[in-house]
Amino acid sequence: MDVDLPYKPQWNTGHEDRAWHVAWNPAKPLLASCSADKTVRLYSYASSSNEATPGLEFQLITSIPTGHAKTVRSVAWAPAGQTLATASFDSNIGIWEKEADEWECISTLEGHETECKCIAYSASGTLLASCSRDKTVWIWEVHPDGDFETISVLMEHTQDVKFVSWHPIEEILASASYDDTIKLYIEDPSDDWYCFSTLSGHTSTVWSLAWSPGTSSYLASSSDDKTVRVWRRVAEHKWECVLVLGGHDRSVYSVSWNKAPKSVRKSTPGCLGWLASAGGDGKVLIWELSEPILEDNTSGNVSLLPPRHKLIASIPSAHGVHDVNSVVWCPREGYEDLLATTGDDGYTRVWKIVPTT
Amino acid sequence: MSAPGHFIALFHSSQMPGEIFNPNPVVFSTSKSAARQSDLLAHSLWVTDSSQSEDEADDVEPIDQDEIYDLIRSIYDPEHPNTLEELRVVSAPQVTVGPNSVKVEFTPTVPHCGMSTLIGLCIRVRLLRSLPERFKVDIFVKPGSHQSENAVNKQLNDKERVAAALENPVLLDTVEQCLSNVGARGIV
Repeated sequence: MDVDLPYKPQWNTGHEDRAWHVAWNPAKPLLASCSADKTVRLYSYASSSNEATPGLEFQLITSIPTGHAKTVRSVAWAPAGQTLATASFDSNIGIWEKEADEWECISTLEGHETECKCIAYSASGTLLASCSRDKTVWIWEVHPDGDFETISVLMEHTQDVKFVSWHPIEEILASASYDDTIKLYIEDPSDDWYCFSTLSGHTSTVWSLAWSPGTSSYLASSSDDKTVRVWRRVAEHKWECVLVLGGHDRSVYSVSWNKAPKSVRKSTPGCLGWLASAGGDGKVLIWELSEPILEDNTSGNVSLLPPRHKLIASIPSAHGVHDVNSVVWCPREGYEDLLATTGDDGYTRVWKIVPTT
Repeated sequence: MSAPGHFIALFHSSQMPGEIFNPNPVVFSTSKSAARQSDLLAHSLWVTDSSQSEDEADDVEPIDQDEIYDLIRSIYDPEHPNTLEELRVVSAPQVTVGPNSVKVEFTPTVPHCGMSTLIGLCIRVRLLRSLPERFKVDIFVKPGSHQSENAVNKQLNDKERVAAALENPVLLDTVEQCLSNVGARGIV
């Protein structure tokens, strides 16, 4: 596999300051990026109309001056693709919808005491999770007309909470922290949400999380300890670390996991998809993972074998000399080979992963 | 909007307002800048042609230990009218330079110094503003010199915390004051 030339938005469409995060709209050809310049930029993409330059063309369609008083740290689309949420260092969360031709803030969620670092919608779109330097994780219930209700404030971490991510199928929430741990939460039907497991193993800040596609029985985490760990669900409420991936020279700020393109899935038995990681060393690494094969079928627990893994692509200096702050696979069917990255240079770049032959 | 105490929480210092961590620091005399390479460079006609500086910023040119030290030696200590050089918080041998990386170790004046994270932040801001973009900067307290060594190191090297700290107007103002005289020696 090799990396094709990046589909890069025009030169004048980068942010004016560090670009922190990027999110693909799950339903429409739209991409949102956010930045220390307090704006959110939306890009559309379509097949090229010019036969000389086939492929996708990306175009900046709008720059939303969010009104956040500080950095917009992360963006998240609701599953239906109609609503965008923004998390800001000003401690607030913005909820955005398109009304007429303009993106309007339909709601501002206040509650965190300090910088809000990340937000995430559950698979059904009925829950929104947020986390902050104030060490808490909040779960909000999404009501119609931009109404939100706080249903839980989880105070399990001993330090900043850097990232939250919902399981793609079940209502399980994962959070990653500066306290080096990952925590998993579910709802007790007769009571509040609670933490049912703490995953320890990283030796420094855990920056980012990504669930495997399909049945999502694996969780990947990236850390300041320069590694990516892969955790496998070995029982309903139990995850074990089964793999540690190296290859980065500095903090790994972001990890993303998606199903591989159809042709790869067909030809790879037990294919677990493609895992991308990126960080302070400016590198993007792409691994192909697949289920382990038990070679000696007389004994052994297949669930504790590491998934098979191979590095299929590497993009050195993806944003020149700058850190890469986020790496995100396109979730849309047929676009699984597209990867978006953001960097300290303020740019959002989109890469297509193609076979080398 | 931000209360003055905000940065204290941000950097987890336990300092109370007005508390002085080291009321009587030892002040050392500063070096007279013997014939260091950087001074020679500074006097070179080639480098003083300022019209080239924009382009040169992107060129790969070696930077040495003394140049880095020159950039940070005149930073003021946050609680004393002395520079980091005068208090021997920083020294040239504590700077390590690679082709694209700089590691700075500093020595807090007392092991319980609650100002250590602020000093480290000032060093980081100074280097961010002065060095070509390709440099990755790591800042650490000297091993064994601070009772919360790991916590201080972790904060100083967390880019998200540093970014948030610099959006705090009170904290940024304090950093600017510490950096108010840095141009006295450094060649930028």
